[in-house]
Amino acid sequence: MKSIAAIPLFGTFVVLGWLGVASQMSAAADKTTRTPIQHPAFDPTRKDADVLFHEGRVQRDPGGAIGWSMLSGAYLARSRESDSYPDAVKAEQAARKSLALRTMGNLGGQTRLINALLQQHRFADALATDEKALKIWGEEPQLNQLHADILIEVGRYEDAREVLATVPQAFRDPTGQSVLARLSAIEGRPGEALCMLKGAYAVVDANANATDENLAWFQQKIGEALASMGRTQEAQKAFEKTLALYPRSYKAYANLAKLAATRKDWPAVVANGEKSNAIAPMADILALVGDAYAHQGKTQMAEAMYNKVVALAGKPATAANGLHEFTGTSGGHGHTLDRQYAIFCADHGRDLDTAYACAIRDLQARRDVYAFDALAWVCFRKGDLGEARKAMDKALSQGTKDPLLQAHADMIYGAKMAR
Amino acid sequence: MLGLAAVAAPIILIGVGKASDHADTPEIAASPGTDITDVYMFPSETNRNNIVLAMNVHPLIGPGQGKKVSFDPNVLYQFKIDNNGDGVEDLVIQASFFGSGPNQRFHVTGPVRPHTIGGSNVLEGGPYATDRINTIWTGGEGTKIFTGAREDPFFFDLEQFFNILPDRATPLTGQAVANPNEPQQTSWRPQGQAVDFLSNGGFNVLSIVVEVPKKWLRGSGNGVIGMWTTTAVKSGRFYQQMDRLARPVVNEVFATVANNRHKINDLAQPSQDSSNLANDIQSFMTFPAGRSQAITNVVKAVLVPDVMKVNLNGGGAAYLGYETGGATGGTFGGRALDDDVVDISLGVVFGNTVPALGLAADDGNEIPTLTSDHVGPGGKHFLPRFPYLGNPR
Repeated sequence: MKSIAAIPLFGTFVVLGWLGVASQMSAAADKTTRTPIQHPAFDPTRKDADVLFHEGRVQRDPGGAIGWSMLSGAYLARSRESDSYPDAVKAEQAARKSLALRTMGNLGGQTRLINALLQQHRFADALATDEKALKIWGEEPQLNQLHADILIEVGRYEDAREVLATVPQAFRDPTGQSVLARLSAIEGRPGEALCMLKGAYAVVDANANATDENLAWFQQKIGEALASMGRTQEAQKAFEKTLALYPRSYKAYANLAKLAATRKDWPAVVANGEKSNAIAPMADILALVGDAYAHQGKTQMAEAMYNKVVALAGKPATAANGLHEFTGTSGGHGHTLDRQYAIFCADHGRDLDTAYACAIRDLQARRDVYAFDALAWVCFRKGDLGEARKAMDKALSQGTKDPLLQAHADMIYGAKMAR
Repeated sequence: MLGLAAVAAPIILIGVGKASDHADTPEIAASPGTDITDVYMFPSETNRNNIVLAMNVHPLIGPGQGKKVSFDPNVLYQFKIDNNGDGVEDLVIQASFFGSGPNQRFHVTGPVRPHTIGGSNVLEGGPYATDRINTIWTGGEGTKIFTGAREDPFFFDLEQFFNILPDRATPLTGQAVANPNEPQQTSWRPQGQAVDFLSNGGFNVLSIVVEVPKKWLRGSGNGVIGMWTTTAVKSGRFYQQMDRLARPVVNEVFATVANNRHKINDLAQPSQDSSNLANDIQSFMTFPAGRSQAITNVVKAVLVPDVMKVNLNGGGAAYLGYETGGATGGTFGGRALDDDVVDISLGVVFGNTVPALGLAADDGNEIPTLTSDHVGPGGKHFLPRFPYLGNPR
């Protein structure tokens, strides 16, 4: 109950009992709408609670397409938080169940199925599913955003550009802007990408329904863009802000570890890398922490981390067949970690024949610039400079100014010139 | 062979396209704050001189999340009241919100004659009531205001509705469903299988509930008023209408998503319903309902314009009660929280309600399998006093 003064003299329609404040609404509005929006804070219990809630709902109504779609979304959210492969598979199953119950009008089921396939790194399946759905849904923005994003993922940049050109209206919201930013970065315009991501962040920040976690996603992307441009101090702040918004951002911890590595601050690498790995073990960060231990002379601890990389990626079979299927303990990534394993081996001069097989197989899954970079790097470390340069040519074909690609290229082209 | 260091010599740089990255952009709800889910109007249970108006927005807030969600501060929420029967608002009650999160504040002003009518409105000046959301504000003459999270009071087998008419589930952004009024199933789920989508687990909404003296709304007319609600988004000094709702399951059933019929009605004014909504009703009553023109004419006469009508002199809230002379349960009309508006509407469209009331001859074209969704209000937790809507789940 507010102790506010009554202002009864407002025509015949304001009645004595209606208490009011003697100020103009418009003035109040203009003054107060500039207040920054307080977005719902991250709740660490929310994703498990959501899964339980929606599991209960489909148990009570197994015939409900929306229910299964919402359950898929809950699994997907949890999968993304900890890079959980089992939850990604559950998300796929729930989405398929939803679509089996009702396809017409079921955009939620469609997009969640595609995202669940992406989460499993099943890029070809995701692309095929998206393109099949587009035949039903036409110019629907979410499906076109996904379409462009998957095309970028698999290295079909020209096709992605065509989607952007033919369905431009799909790329005007923050999600669409993040897709555009991704292509800009690939095409060597990181400043443009950064500008788009900052614009998208501002739009999300003005959305009263966005959560801190939503904001963190864009902040993390801004940090990566800054880091790729060598603006490391700003990137550091962006990743710290990401974590303030969303403390379980393993990618932000991972990037802080990488920034620490560029400063040769090995204890910070270990601290941030371990935090990242505690949430979601990633092959490159496990290896990075191992490297930090090695730089500190802790060789046994380094080797232990490298063993975790192998366990996570799956124990390779023989190099002859180039196949290594999942036998690890952390969640069944199978050959989805081919690229990480190849780079790890190349970085550390290990098991290079298997690394080569992994790089080739990765290239078969997605022919993006990073797949060619991985192949180039492996070939270089194997001593096959000719193939390394051919692959590097393709890695740089889009004009990408990624510092990792540039560094690999410098070594590969520099080595050739030295011969 | 290149003479490269083979141990622990990775290049540590951050790239923008790392291997584990892919399309994992979060789902961000576009604008649930403008989405009006339901509207209610019924006499106060505690003060016979007063009337309660309620509008709900922001659907599908999960259990335990209600008080973490706040209203969109860029949206103007309005009850619009026509007290002379011309389909144009004579009074408005406006709610706007400032700040965000659990400490968000509401400002409610009115009822006041608006400076602008139609789809582009301004914040009305003058006195207003203000308090934090999720509290009850009390003023003179039993005036009360609540804004905040409530259990969603609507009950409906939404899943089966979308199975029957998938067009209605189609986002506006998608390619239209061919033959949008073509039912894909021929019946509702039977008793025992039908499930109230919103009670299953317990979803919440954000509610604006206002109790005011009836005399504030009466004007100089005969006591029959029409009410509808709108949400409007700030654009400069004006607020542009984004959604409109009065009677339940009218625009949602009769108007197709295809061809933007539903959206057009959302953005229209009641005075435009005689052309827009009336055509939608005509089309739906022809197919799939298959009713006679006489019955169709009655339905159009009752539901156009789309405003919720009450007779302030009548007794007993009941959906379509004023329009049917009390046949649905009371002459006050409006809509009570536990009114089974879906079954009432299905009875009108697919059943024998209109012939039974003697308003048109029986055409023999009833479709009994579509006259009830077999879901009732049993899963709800209504309160006997203000704010009447159940506590959030």
